[in-house]
Amino acid sequence: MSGESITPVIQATELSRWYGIVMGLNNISFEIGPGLTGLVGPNGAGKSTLIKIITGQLRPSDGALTVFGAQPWNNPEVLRDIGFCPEDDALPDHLRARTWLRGLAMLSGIAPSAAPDHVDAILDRVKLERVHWEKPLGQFSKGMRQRVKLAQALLHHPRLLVLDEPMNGLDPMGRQEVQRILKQLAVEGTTVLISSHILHELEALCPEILILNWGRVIASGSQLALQRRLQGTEANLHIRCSDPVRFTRVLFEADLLLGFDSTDNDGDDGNDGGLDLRVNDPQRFSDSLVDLLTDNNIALHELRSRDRSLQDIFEKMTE
Amino acid sequence: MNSAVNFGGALRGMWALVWAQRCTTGTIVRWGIGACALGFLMLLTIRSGQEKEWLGWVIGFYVQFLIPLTCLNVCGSMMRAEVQANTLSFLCTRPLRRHTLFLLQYLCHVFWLQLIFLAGTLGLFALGIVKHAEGLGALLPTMLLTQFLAIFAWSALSALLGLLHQPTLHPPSHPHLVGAKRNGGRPVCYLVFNLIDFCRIRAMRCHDYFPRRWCRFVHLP
Repeated sequence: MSGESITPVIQATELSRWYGIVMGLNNISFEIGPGLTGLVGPNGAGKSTLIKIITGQLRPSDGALTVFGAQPWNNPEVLRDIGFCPEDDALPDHLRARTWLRGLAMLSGIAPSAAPDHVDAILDRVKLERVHWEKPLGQFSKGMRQRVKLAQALLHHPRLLVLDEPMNGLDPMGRQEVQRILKQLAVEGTTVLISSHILHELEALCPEILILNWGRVIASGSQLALQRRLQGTEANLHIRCSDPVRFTRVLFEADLLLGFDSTDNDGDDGNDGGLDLRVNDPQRFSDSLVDLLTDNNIALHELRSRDRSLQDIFEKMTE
Repeated sequence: MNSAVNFGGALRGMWALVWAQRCTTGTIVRWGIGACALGFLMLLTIRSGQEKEWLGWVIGFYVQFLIPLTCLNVCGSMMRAEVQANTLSFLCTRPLRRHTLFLLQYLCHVFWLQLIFLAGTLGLFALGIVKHAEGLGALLPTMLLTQFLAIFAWSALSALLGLLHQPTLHPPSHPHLVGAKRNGGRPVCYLVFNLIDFCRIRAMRCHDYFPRRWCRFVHLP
């Protein structure tokens, strides 16, 4: 996934995991490098199994998975560098946030004398308001619980942070705040692996993605590289030009157009020359676009892709 | 920051969690009501002149029934409770080996039980003093040592039984062998049947210690 010169943080080699006769992961191999990586897949794809193996909660049935060069199962040396924020909303409801986090901080190797200040700093970092620090967790809203879960994952300053659906239950402001924290962590050198169903947020957050389906890796790499892989099929574009009617005819004549729809709702005059196009050969389209425009004396105002979003990549890869 | 986890520090962390989980207001109130009700019942039912027998009966009940049952309940479910509450992942992802985590849980729960039963025993002996039972001073150290060791042993057995899960269990071929089966997420071991047997034998002697009107519901062979 990462560049050849970058040492992978997570490396799986022919990794498999069975639950009885059910296969959770089926002989997968991949690498995840530093930075932000999104883990995507439909329900039952094996995401949770993979996350559990990465965080040392499960043992692989076959193959190997290493984090920072060592297997995480029952390995404190590796677990010291991993922070995990689970999807489950289960927290010990009658414990107070501060008490719970102090206990976990001491279990993570933070000196008892330093634990209180450390916990306070982490709670400040995840923006949990101070009035809630001494409240039982059972009284917390879902968004507050997400922040506490994130806080417990950050307690020991891990070099790899694994988050399972971290945006669940957060309001838009909360999501932006969590995204800001995660980006900041990545800048500081923490590798962040995020599993989420909110694809447009992953798209904005994670330059690298790993797509799982039926226990197998069906795509991995940068979003840009995956977009390139999808070239050659078809593309949905939005274009705005001086003469949309002529441009549409020219594309038909060049056998590039599969369909189009006029979008005339943006301009003040009710027609901004906008077209939604579906072209059948994106590479040939981009190669011949300049010639087509100049030959027909059409001025191009805007050209952008309407697909190739993470959602689109995900749908194409999993269909 | 990522230094080695000190066992003492981790133990303090686990104790903070266990203490906070166990010492909720509701739990303290329940224990308090139970202890007061039991003490009050004892004060009401002890016959004059039979204080010594009563003490023997109570100590037998305490050591052979109450301690094992409480250990079974508390330590048998210490890991299973985390699994059922879906909170085990928060512990398992700490930089500790599995066996260290188990040992920390065991030690903290044992310590909590020691505190509970220390309070219980002192209350029991206070009750004996109120009823003028003889020989309490000599009995107290033996009693404390016995319960201290019994709690360690019963808790260890219960904690190990709590790790068992249904597919690994089989009915014991002999009633005195320890077997276990899962019932509502908690192990019900065949030692419980021994405890029930103990109660049955004690109940047979019910008429010796308690007024007959208290024992009229006990039908014995």
